[in-house]
Amino acid sequence: MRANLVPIVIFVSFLTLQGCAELRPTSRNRSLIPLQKADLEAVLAENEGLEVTWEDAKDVRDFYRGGVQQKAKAEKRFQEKVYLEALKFYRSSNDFFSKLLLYIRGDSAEYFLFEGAHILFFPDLLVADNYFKMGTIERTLGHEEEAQSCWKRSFSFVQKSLQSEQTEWGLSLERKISNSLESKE
Amino acid sequence: MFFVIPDESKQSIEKFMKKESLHVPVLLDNGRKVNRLFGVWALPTSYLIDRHGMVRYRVMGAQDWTGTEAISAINHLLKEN
Repeated sequence: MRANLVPIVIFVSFLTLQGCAELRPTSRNRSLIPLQKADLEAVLAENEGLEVTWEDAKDVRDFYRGGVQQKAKAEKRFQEKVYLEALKFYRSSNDFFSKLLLYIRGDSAEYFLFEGAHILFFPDLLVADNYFKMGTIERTLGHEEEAQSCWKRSFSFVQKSLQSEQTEWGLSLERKISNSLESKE
Repeated sequence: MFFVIPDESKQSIEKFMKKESLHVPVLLDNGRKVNRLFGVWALPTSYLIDRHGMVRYRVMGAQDWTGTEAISAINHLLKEN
């Protein structure tokens, strides 16, 4: 019944009056990016809305958005301590990012989309954060070897992120990973 | 059918629509909230949404909506329940 109330097909077109769109990264900003400008909450908020499924992801940006959206689900389960579900979504998130990272490298706090539009683009840092939390879960579940393996991977990705963009977020994560790697149970 | 145009004044859009003889509703997306919710990363981008609210087609870049392919896609959606 509800279907009768909505138009048969809706056509939406996003336009600009200013000319052609283009995709290119801005020059790298080597100054330290504060948490107020780039943190996990801001990235999650930027990618809310229309959900990207694995089947529908076509372009690199779809894989980024999909990875962030899966991470948002993982974070919720992690907070709720539903660890096995959280692990599933962290892995799914990493699958999206891994695909993206085959084509694009380089985290950026001001990734250029089109005139006047920039996004927070942190695939390496988000993968690092995923592995860090996966390691935390594995330790909680008593799987120390898996935890160490996740943290080592996390450390490798956070290093890549910091090579591209110096962020307080990345440096903070780097410290947490180092502490976790040193604190063998 | 409607257009979503980010960060433009009403006056400049009206001028553009008049110049191009377009008679389509326009959503003024100041602050780019709708752009973000759709995950638009190139302009122009067009979406075809079916009667169930699902996005069925997305086209990035200019598209001839009077061409065979576009008309076939729209007809395909119209035939669905």
